[in-house]
Amino acid sequence: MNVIEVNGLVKNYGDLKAVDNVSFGVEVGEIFGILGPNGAGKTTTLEMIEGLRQPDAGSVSIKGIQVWPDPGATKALIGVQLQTTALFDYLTVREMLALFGSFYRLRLTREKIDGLLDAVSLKDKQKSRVNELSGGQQQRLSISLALVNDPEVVFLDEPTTGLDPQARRRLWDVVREISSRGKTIVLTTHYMEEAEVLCGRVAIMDAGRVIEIDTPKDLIDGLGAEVKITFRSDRNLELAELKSATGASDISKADDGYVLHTSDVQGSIVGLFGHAQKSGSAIENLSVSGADLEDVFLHHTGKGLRD
Amino acid sequence: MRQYFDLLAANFKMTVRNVQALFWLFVFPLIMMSLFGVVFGGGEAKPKLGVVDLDQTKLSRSVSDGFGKAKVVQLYKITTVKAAKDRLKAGNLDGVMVIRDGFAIELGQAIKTNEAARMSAFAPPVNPLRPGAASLVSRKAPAGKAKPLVPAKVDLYYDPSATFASQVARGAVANVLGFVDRAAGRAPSLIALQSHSVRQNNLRYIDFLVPGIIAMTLMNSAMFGLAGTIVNYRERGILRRLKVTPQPLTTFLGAQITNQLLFSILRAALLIGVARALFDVHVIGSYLTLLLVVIVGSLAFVTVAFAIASFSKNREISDTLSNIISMPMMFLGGVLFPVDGAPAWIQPLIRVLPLKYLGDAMRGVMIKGDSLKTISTDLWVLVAVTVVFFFISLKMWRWE
Ligand SMILES: Nc1ncnc2c1ncn2[C@@H]1O[C@H](COP(=O)(O)OP(=O)(O)OP(=O)(O)O)[C@@H](O)[C@H]1O
Ligand SMILES: [Mg+2]
Repeated sequence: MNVIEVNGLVKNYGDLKAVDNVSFGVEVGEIFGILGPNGAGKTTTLEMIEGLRQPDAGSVSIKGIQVWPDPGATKALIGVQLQTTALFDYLTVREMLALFGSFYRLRLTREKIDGLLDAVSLKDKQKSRVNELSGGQQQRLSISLALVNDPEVVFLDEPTTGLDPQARRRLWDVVREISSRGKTIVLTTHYMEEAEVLCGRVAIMDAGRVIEIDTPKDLIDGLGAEVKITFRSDRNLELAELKSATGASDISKADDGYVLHTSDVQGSIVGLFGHAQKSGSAIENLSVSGADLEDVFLHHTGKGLRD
Repeated sequence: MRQYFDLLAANFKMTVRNVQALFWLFVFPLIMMSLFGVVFGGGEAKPKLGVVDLDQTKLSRSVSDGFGKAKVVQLYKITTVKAAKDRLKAGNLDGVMVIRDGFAIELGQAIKTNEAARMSAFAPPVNPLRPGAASLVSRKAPAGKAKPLVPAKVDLYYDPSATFASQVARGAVANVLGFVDRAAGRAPSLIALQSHSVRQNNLRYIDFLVPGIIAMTLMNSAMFGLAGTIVNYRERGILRRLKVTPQPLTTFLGAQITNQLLFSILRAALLIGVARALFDVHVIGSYLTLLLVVIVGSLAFVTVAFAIASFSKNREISDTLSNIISMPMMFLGGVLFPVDGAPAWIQPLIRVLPLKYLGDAMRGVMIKGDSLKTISTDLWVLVAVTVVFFFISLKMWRWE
């Protein structure tokens, strides 16, 4: 059953089609990811669902209730973390949670606030003022604020951007914890590993359009049984020659070396070293890995997630 | 309603914890008031005493000349009682002494009566201390027999409620006359000082200034504090965050307004308290009326602030707008100095400044004791400002 239905959403800013005919459904209890590079239209899409930006065309419903033209009816059903985290200075973490509770006409009990703090592991910071929190802690507070009304759907807009890898992993745990409480989560990210690790399904977005929607596994499998080989070389290698020598389906040069995709790992590696021997160049830092969402994105758009 | 109180409590906490804001809210107006009060408040200048000598005798002149030597007062000789009283009411004098016509004769008679009484007893006839003083008394005055002593009368006009200076003037008069008394022979009082209280209209600068400062801080805390806060909330996306909650805009704005009102009232009370302690400024009118003026005035500027916040994209713009609007009011609104004497061509401009009306109402209640009815026009103007700007800001309101 779909808790969110998005149909033909369009948002234009002047000539720019920020969101261009986007449709998808989100199932109850799933973690739905929107993956895409800067400016893909992730935030715009999310905020049209949340009732913050009015679409130029299309419709959104949450639990069967139309969000537009009056978003008032769905506000109580959702919890929102906006991409730009800014909160009242001069209030403590606890006070902030209580205040946001009052915005939903709720009087949060001690235990309830403790529970929210536990969910985002901020218990030890409950007496700190917001401006005394680190970026990651603010992010977690912001997520806990999205939970005060015990919403059915939680929207997280780039919850891990700007965090170090360790903090990011901690946030993943937070997201999983929220999900285990039976909530539907819609999140955006530009980290493909994040989408892969967290999301049940992922919509890949670029330039205002949704390119593919599927589980991360099916998206990757859709590329075929391809494997990615990356390496460096001390000389400049001719891409066309390299391609014919290795039998790769696709080859490209990145800043730090070469990336080739192939369905015949052994043949390609033998071919690669043969080519290197002939041209008198050395191959270094060779690695072989399965394809990931980055490759899916590359495959569909011809460019990397992070340009 | 509970939502509203929760938000109000949060706002209150945030304001109290914002040290910088507290400085501008409370300390700055205090400093300003004290500085202006000390620099322009007149300080320790000598009290100005007007003397009207209706008697015009040698004796009466010597009495008034006595003040010239007394040095504690600055003496102004004025010919008519009316002129002197007018100057007193206008605040140009701190007291007026009137020596009535017939003063010399009265005093002479009083001395005679007194001496006769003493002669019949035991005392020597001549005052050894100051024979000259005694010689001033007319010797031609007929000797009376056991008549009751009627002292010669001198009138003193002053405003007992007003100033330190007027008290000094009164003390000085009493002292000097007492000296004449003593010179005439340490008798029971030969000169009676009859005090008349006169209400001075034109009070000291500090009396003018304190209501003005209160009015000005009402304006500034709204224009800079509130407008800036709202714009800052919008710039940082806090307003958008509020928008995705079911909290109505009216509750949010209501709590902001109430918080502003609370602090306006606290601040007015503080300023009045300090003005009383430091400068002896008293509130003559009713405190309840004053409270109403503070609330109405504060609301007017709160709505102006909301309108500014709605117009402004960012903090720089809102501060600039606030400056553009508040600067003319500070100087032309009659809060720091009177503008009634400003050139005629500028008067129409002055009449459209809301601060002028707030300042007038505040001053009316505080130093003239005006009733609600007297200041009702000022208050209605402020109410009109509130309504107009309320609708402007509702119409222009932006969440982002
Ligand atoms: N208010 C606006 N006015 C004009 N253009 C806008 C506005 N908001 C977004 N855009 C444009 O719409 C496009 C999509 O923006 P959006 O914020 O949705 O991207 P995003 O996928 O969330 O990017 P990011 O990963 O950087 O957050 C961008 O090109 C952006 O410049
Ligand atoms: Mg975004």
